[in-house]
Amino acid sequence: MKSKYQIFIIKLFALFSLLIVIDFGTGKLLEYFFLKLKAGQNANVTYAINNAEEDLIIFGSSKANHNYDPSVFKDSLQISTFNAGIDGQTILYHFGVLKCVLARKAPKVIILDLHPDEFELDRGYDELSILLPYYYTHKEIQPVINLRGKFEKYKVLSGFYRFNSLPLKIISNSIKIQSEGVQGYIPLNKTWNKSMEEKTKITSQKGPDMVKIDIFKSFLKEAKNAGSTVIVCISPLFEKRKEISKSITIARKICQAQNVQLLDFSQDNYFFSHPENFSDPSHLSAQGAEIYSKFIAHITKEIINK
Amino acid sequence: MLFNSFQFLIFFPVVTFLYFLIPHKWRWLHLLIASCVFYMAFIPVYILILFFTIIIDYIAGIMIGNAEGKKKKAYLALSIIANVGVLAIFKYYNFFISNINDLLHNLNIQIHDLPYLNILLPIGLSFHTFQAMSYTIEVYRGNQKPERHFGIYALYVMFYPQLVAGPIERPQNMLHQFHEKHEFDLTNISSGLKTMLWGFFMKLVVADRLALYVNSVYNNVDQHNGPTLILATLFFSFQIYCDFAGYSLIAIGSAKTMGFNLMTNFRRPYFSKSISEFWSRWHISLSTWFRDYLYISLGGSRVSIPRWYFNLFFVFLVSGFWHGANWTFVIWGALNGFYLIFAAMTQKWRESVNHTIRLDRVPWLMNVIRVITTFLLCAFAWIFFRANNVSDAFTIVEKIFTTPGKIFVTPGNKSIFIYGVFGLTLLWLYEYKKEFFDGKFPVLTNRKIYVRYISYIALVAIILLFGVLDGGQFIYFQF
Repeated sequence: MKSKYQIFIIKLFALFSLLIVIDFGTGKLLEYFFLKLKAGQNANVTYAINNAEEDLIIFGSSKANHNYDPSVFKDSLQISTFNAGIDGQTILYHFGVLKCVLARKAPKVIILDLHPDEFELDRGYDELSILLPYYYTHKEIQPVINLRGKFEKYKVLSGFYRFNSLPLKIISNSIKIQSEGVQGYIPLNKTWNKSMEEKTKITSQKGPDMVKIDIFKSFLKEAKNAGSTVIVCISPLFEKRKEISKSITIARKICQAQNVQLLDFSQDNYFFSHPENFSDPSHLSAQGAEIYSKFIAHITKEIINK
Repeated sequence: MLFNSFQFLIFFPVVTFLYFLIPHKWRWLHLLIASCVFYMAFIPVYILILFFTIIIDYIAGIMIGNAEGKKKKAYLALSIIANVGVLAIFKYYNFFISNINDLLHNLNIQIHDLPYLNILLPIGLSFHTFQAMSYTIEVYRGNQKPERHFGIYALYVMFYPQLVAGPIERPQNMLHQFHEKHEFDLTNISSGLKTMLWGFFMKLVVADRLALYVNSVYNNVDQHNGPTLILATLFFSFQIYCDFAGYSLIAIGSAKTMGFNLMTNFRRPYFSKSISEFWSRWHISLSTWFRDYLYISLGGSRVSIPRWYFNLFFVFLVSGFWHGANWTFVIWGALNGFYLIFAAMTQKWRESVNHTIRLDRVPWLMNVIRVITTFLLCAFAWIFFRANNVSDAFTIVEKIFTTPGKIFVTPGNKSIFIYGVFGLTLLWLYEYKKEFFDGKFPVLTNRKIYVRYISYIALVAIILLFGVLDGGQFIYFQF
């Protein structure tokens, strides 16, 4: 006769086995529909990771996403362009996506839009959850996702975990169709109509994040080694700063050391005098994005033709 | 260590498994070490503060037990001063200094600011301090014999499931349990795991999801209108309930797996028909602590009516202050005290109104109205509990009544509503069943194994798919 311990172990084993099977099955099912999404932010991420083979790819956060109009680059440089910027992301995410892009084909030009406080931002690690669905489809992305925490590599074993909070997006974006021709770019149509603020104290009191600095160095190095021309940009702000941020100073040094051009528009007087070019103090309006993209495209042309 | 961390997912089964493997006479040591590991996962050095109060109260307990008359009282006073002293330094010192400095500035007295202490509040300090104090008070009152075994006494204060956020236990309920031998019991394990599972659901699926909306609104009060602030306040009412009740359930469940019975801390408080009933269902371990050790000591309700009102108000004022060194908590406590006094003062008048309009002839309708009114009063008070400062709290109240507009919904936060409402619906169904049909329509405890298994897996799937898994802290940790 079986003891109560044995019965308990058997029941527990049966329950866990069932749970593992259902977790695995659900993960696979969600992955199937997720990778087929044609609309929404996740579709843009999937495109960047799985398909993007454009000659010019723009990396960055919401600033990249809203400030760089691919059609301007296409017209000006006569090369295909994709905007891979995603709201709220940092260099950690950009590096993950870059690894996937480089594993396929190196773009001719890479523009990386850096946040003026990139290395001091209190975010970036949790936000990497956007890459979780690709953990097993893209091995090159795994070290970046593992930066989320020391137990991440175990957590991702669960299909439920990898697709946490995504079922609703999968359902709603499965029935939507992405408008064609935008190439990842999302224009902002609102116009900023308030006066400019002066920022005296910059970001957190914490020092710069060394992991992010190392990842930034790796980003530049790997992109250059793959043969791409890399340009680091800091987009215009509608916010006057009394001092240059630590992040910009650090980025400038790294770029100099790696012979990469850094274009800092964060305190640009032309943009300061045209508030109508902004949608909010951190993002350009569609009109501003067009003007700014023309500036960058012009400089890019000069750099390529050197 | 957070209950909703991956570390705990390893810690809990290992500690529970080892507990049953180890001979009974060493189990206290095993649990004590485990509790130290659990606590030191936060800020290791703060365990020294815990040891300080443990040593003081252990000695005080024995001294009180051996003494008589004034000496006995003096030992109790020393123990209380030591406990309250630690609380005062770590939790309230900077608050008082800040207020004194502000006062001196306002009076144009030109002196250097009094210095602040650059320290962090030890996790759960108010909880284990109150638990330690209940021991010496009960020994003084003769309801509990002094605990001679230092390890067992330390474990009473440090038992990891309830160390950082309660339930605040009484020595009569806990100490004897550490001496008893708990056999490996499948019923306890199953019941404990189910309780924990529901606790995780409350915390991760409901509380942390709603917190995303609440935080985005309450941290930018100036940018939001009345309807948005009302919705955020209603959401916060459920967030704080699910956050804290969820924690309590995980604590109760994890203790249950090893055969320990902790006291119930929440009994579906939003089904309360009055504020006094609400306080008999909300954070029961703290409410009864204040009742037993402060309210009754002040004379309770067996005094003149004005004195009774004072007792009520004072106890809630202290309760508010217990929650945090901020005027927002004091106002929240005062508001609850006011509710109770107002309810007592108007009871007869309200009964006569109900009789006149014949509402008392339709009890179900009267109950529904009372439940909704109680909930709204509580929700209003939560504004002061959650607001970042007093000024924000009054801005919220003003905007609620004066600033109409559309509710703040963005493509980004739509999912919060959908997942949040989904979680709230499941919670409501469960609580409604428990409140009115307890024992009927069992799901997690169904006799049929397939119903049980499906419900376990469904609940795990809901937690992992729809929960917020980024390790949000429990609100009550800060207290």
